[in-house]
Amino acid sequence: MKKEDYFHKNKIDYIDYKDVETLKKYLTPHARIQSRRRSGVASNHQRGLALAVKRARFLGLLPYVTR
Amino acid sequence: MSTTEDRAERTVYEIGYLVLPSIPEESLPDVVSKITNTFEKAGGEKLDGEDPFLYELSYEISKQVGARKYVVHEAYLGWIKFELEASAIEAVKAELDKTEELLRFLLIKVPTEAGFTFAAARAALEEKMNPTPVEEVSAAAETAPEAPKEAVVE
Repeated sequence: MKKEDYFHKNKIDYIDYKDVETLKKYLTPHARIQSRRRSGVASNHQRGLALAVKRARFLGLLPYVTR
Repeated sequence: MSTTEDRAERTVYEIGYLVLPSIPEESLPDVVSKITNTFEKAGGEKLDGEDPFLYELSYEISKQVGARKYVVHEAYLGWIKFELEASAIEAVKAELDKTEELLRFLLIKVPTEAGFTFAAARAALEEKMNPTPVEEVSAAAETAPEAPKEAVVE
């Protein structure tokens, strides 16, 4: 079954890098960004999500790697 | 030139910053005003922001200031949203680069309507953890099935 796009459902156009709790949902156990196939979000939101995660990583809000 | 035209040329930016934890808490307002001054001097206007609070970082970050090297795993995290002409942003960035109190900063363009705050996120998380009992009662009352009416047998 196709997963629902969380950002489309909640009408979130801009994915904020500070919203760590939401971003964490789209990371794998190794803290890598989930693929679109796994996350189920639309391609425009997946790009926004990747950018937000990378910004959050830079500021130390999210890890780059987890062992 | 009208003010509406002036506004059209302006871009909304956001600075997310980390202040070194070695800075005493009472001097944090000075650091914030130092950051605010950098864009206000260039003609910028503050739109929104949150005061820095101590935040545990996801990984160790180091910064070299002169001969001293700081290696930290927590820092004061804050952000400021402001409006400024695009031509003046390079000067702001150059000045922030020189600010020794800042461990790291992120200077980005943001849409005006972006309204996420850490305070709201914390409140939402707390609400999720322990929902207010008043709502629970009213919700229970609404969903409670009505007592079955006894059939009248004549």
